[in-house]
Amino acid sequence: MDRLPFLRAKAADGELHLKWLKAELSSLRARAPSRLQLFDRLDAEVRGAEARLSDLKVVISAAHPTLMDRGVQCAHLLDAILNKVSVTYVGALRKEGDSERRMRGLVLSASRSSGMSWIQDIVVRLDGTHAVFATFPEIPLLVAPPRHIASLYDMPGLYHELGHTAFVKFPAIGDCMRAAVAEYFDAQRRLGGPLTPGQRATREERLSAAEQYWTEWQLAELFCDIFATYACGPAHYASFVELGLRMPYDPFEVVGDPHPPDAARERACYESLSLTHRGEELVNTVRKAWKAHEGKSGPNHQYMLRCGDELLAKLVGVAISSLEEKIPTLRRYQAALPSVDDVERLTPTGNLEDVLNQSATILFLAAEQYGKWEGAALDWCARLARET
Amino acid sequence: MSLLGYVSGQIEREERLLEQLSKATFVLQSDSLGLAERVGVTAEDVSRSRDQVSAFAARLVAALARNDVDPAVAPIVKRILQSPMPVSDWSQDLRALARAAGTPGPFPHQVLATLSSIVRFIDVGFTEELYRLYGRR
Amino acid sequence: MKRQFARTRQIDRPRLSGREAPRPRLGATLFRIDGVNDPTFDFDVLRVREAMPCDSAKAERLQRMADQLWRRELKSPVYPSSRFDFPGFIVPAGTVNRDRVIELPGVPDRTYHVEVTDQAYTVRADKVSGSERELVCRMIERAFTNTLLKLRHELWKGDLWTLFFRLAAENEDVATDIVRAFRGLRFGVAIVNGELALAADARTRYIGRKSLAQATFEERQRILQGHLSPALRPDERAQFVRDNGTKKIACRYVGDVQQTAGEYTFDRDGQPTTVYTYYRQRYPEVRVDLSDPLVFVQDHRGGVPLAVPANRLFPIFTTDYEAIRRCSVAPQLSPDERLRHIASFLPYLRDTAFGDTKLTPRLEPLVGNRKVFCPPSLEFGNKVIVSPFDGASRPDVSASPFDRGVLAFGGVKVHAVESQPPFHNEPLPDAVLLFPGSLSRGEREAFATILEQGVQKLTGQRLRIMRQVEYATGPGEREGTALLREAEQVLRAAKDSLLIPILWDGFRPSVHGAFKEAVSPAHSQCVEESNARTIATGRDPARLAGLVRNLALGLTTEVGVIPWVLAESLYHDVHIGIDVLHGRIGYHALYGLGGRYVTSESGTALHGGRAHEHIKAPEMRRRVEQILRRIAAADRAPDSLVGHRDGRWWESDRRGFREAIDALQAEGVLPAGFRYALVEVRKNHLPVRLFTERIVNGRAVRANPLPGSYLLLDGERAILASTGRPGAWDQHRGRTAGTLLLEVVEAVGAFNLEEIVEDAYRLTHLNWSAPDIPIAHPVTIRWTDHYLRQTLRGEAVRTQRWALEQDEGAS
Repeated sequence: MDRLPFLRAKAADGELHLKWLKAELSSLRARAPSRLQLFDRLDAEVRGAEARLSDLKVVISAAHPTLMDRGVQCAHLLDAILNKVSVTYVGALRKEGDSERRMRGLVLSASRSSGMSWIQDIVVRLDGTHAVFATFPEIPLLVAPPRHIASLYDMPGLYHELGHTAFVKFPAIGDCMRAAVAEYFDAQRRLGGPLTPGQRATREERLSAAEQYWTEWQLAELFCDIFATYACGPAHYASFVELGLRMPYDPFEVVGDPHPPDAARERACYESLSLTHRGEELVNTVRKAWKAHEGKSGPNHQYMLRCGDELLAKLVGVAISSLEEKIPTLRRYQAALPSVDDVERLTPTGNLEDVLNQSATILFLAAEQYGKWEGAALDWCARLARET
Repeated sequence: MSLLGYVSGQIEREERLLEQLSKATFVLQSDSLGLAERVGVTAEDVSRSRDQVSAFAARLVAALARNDVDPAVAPIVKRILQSPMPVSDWSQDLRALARAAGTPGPFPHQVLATLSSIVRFIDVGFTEELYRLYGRR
Repeated sequence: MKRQFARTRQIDRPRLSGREAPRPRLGATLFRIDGVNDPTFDFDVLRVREAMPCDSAKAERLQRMADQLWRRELKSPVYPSSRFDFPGFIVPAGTVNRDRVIELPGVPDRTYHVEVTDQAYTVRADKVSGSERELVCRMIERAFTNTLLKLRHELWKGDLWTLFFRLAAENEDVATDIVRAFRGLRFGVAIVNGELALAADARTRYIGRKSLAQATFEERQRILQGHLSPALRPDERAQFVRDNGTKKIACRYVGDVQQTAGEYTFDRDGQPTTVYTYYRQRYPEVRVDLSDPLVFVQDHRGGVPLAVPANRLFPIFTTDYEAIRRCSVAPQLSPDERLRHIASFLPYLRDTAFGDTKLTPRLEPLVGNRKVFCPPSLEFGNKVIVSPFDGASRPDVSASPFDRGVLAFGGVKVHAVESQPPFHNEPLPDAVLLFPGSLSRGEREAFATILEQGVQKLTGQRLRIMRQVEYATGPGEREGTALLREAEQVLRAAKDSLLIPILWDGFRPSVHGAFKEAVSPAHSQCVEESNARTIATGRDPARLAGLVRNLALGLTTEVGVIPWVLAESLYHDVHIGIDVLHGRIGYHALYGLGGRYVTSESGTALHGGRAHEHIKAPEMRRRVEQILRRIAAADRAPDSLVGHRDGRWWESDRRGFREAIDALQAEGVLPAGFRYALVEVRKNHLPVRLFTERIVNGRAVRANPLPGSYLLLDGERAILASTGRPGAWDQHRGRTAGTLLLEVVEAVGAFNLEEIVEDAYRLTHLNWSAPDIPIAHPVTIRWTDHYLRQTLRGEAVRTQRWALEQDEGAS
């Protein structure tokens, strides 16, 4: 019962917060009346928040010690919704300017051309490193660096972020990947030859630890790399490798965050390329640089146990099969890359994936022409954004 | 690339689970305390809550018995394993919970206490994720 | 009548007709015994009067009693029998006087009384099995022994009743040989498809020219350390031969006598007699002086010590003694030489009296159609299959291309191992190299680089040697204490390290096993310093590639890399190998397609502080249940199982096995129709060799058997030769492949002996550590034996010497 005053305060504040939020949403909707799905969704969340507030008030009026936990939980749920809507979406929508809208248009056009049929709308913030709020997978909030206003550099990273929305929207994909991990380690357990019982027990411990490494979080991150390469092709592969090459740490080490080691991610991206793309000069050039980077350290025992090539190939296979089955509209990027033999004559064409692949080809194979190229490419992208 | 993508996607799932079980617990507690009418809980609410609790308890018992854990309940299993009570006791209590939920009549106090503990675990995990996502002072 | 046979007399070979046999045939050093008119044999039955504990040690206890009766009391074969509902033994009829009661001491202060019952019975030689078969064979062997014992001016008996040597050494006049080589015959009797045959093989015993009295102090310390060392128990020491002229007796040094031959007296027929007097009377042709120093010896384990002149003791050496490698008489013989040698002894056995008849072994060995298994196809990484022949074009087993394919298969395996990825590429842990200071820095670095390259070639993985740690060596470090200390420190800091110790040349042999035991379960791969230096310096280019490859294979398979597996199914779903050594039990089970998966267990056969050979039924049951449950959970419930035991399947072992199967069937883990067979796999068995015979220009030419050759003795036993190098080993100073005896001692459900033997043969093709060298045992036994010996190497070295002395000259 000591918590009752806190709950009463929460209810009073919640009332005010909701009132303000409804007014904000109404105003924002008026500014962009065509974005029905976005605002309908946010309004639905607000209704959910109202329901939680109502539940909280019921608990307060009952004033029974046994029911206090429910009150606290309602307060947390209320906070969650309010954070989602006001901190995340309203905050972004209030700051949305022309650049954000252009970016939104571009990403929406890409989502449509590549078949991400579940995406209804996108909210963009151009004030941070690549990230996504995938709470509403159909209406994700994308964070990207402001540089994207004037550069295509690193833009394939957006596809990784969109991959998170697919992972949330289609949880069966995660189930399949998890099953693949279990199957792989089960098969590994039977191998090892004539070890002594003590050695086998130690090996079992190591394999279990390696298997437990693959939580849903690691699988989600790996899936997003696979998704991004599937949808965006060599452009994403080159972009990822370029990111990895910037890092000073050993690519075979886990560096304390849930992303798998860079070497594993590179392998997954490479395996996700079509066979034709693996033969492209861009890919070979980039891969050579990556192999040289890897060669400075080499795989360690823990890496090989956790991220064996066989496991990574299996996960890529399972992820791609799941994509083909669960998201048949999603298009695998398979277009041929341009040749740089006559690079001055190249002009941007096609959808965002095409432009990004053209850009990557020129950037890595004819870098001296890139400056001139990018200007034309950005104009093309602006046109794509307008047409959405 | 940041951590937000995965966490933001997961929190929605956890939010739904917390609301469902927290509500069900509230309904069953109110019913057990004779406060149902006062707080607006109907017989239908009670029946639905019993079903939800029964299904969830069975799911947790199965998860505790297996090595591969459904990610939806993995955080709860983790907290159970870290708690001072042995897993065998938890399994016993959860089975009792599932049984009570499927049996007409008031919930025994001990069984409701188990349910409350589980919901508290969910809430703790959810709140941690919430503030990881949105930060705190 | 004194028989005179030239030692190397050429036996007339049969001149065959112009129509020569086109196919190679399989022969065995088995010689049919003529003269057995009546195939029946009469047995008497003895029983132990007192009730005996009915426990898991009962079978072992009865066997010990049988041995005592045989060797001490009756000097005639005795076998325990489970035919009756009392603890009983079978003996040849008439062995024991009906009124006689034999007292046998039990433990701790019990005495058992053994008496003759009225349960005599008769068996037929063509219908016996088990211990009754063995008794029939021993009865006939005894007759042959008695015949040879009469030839004391030509032959002397070795330490077995079935082992005799010529009195004169083969190299008597070769002064440069510091050992004398005595050729001999080891024989036995076998029943082959219902017929009695003599099994015979050549043996060579090497005895030092110098007596113990003549040995210098330095020779006693260096060469005779194994014979005299006070650190060894008498029964662990190497043997001497007490050369009393026509009588030579194997014995072991016990200690020195502080008196001379003229001073020391002992009781002989109630009278005190000096050793000098004894020799003058008993062996007048042997020179013994009053002042000759004496030593105590024992003729057998636990025997009464005898005082004998040191100048009558000559050390017996085994083939690991370097002088034997330089001896003009090689210990090994090619098949042709071997058969000639055996043939020179057979006439001694002509007209051997046996009851009312006379037995004579034929001079020609058994020869018949060749039976040989084809080597199995093997699967490497990326599902690459390697076979001795293309599937569609396997030649007939009698055609030359078949032999060529089989013999070339070792080379094919080597090529595949070096060019294909392994079937399973287990990640290599980080490694730590431990090295002695006697290895120079340049040698060490070169060795490490070459080893890394070798591992890279086989697996594509980089061997990361993270640290190199020197350990102390010197006179006080022969037991390897400093090495073990460094290893423990390394593992404390990084417990998952792979240890690569380069073992100092000055270490005792036991250090290898002590190291493996101390660091277990951490992985380790030991390298002898001399081998590391050979690799580093490239001094022996011919050996180098194979040395590096096999070392890299040893290292990678130690941590779990699987170079290849069998590509084909075996006939049976599970094979379990079981071995016991010094009270420790090892179990290795192979299952899955071609036995590609392995699971193992270990247990103890120590009861009451004593190591036993039998395994208690509950222990066996528990391990077999654990293994089969694990297999059923990991793979699928098996339908059939073959158990391999290196040695004997005791009754308690079998009972434990049965109980495990019954329990698992009751639970539904195993199907109702589950079949199993228990097989004894013996390397030391009947003195039988196999060989290939071809007719060349009308002459029978004998050569080494093609690996995979086999001979079925009856429905339960087979001889298998899985090793050998026909051609290379058939020259002068060549050798003959050894054989295994496989005997099915228990079977539940239908089994085919040939399938059991073929599976055992296929399982010799997992010779991962040296793909170019065939192995004798199936890996079920080999891996289990290796695991036990690695960790008990010190005791094993001493045990091995005893086993060698029991049956010297094998292969």
